[in-house]
Amino acid sequence: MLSACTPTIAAYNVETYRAATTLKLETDTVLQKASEPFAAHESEVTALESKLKAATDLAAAIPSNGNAAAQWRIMSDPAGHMAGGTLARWRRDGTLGAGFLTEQRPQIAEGFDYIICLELNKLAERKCAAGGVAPGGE
Amino acid sequence: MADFTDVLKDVADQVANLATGKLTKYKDALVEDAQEFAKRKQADIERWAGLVKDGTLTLADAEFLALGAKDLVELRAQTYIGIAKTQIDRLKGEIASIVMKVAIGVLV
Repeated sequence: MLSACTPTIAAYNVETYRAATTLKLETDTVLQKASEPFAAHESEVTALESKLKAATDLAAAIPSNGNAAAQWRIMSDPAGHMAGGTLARWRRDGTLGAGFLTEQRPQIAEGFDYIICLELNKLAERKCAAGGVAPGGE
Repeated sequence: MADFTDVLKDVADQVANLATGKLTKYKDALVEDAQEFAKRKQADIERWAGLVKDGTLTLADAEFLALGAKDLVELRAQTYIGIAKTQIDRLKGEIASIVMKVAIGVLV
């Protein structure tokens, strides 16, 4: 009976939830400027990259939190194609196309929605925002 | 004192009904959601192809977006696996409640 009470997943963490909601907004705000030269925004981007790394490290440090930790790694990876990868691309290419940003910004927002959705469902079963719908929730 | 076989059957029946109800609801919603996601991504890919044709996107842009969509599939998968784990934990708690209630009913 006692082993049946051992949780299979980490409990809701308010810090990772706040990180996801805040960084969703901050990432979009910064990327709105990504059609401008990177050099003019380097300090903002570096600050954002640090926050993404901190959130990733926090998620990884929580026991039984493998799914959320994997999500944060995907989101922040500079070699990937979410927030970290898009910021790295801006850094590398100098500017990003307006058409590309129009398509990529909602994809990144949807990615954050999946992270937020998982965290909220640790608290209570629920449907989430359009991108990260939780099946079975009300 | 109730026949213990009957007690075990009572617990097993309640647990089976609980698990079947929850798992069926989850599975149906998961399938519907996956279909909706696939439709959306298909529409995105078609739009990106059109935007490459009209010069709004470069080929490199479209490739990056497509790989971003692939990352989204993985992010989704992690969400649903994690949610399944939360549901298992809730189910464990509900099963424990059933066992306790039946045990108390037997003892009283």
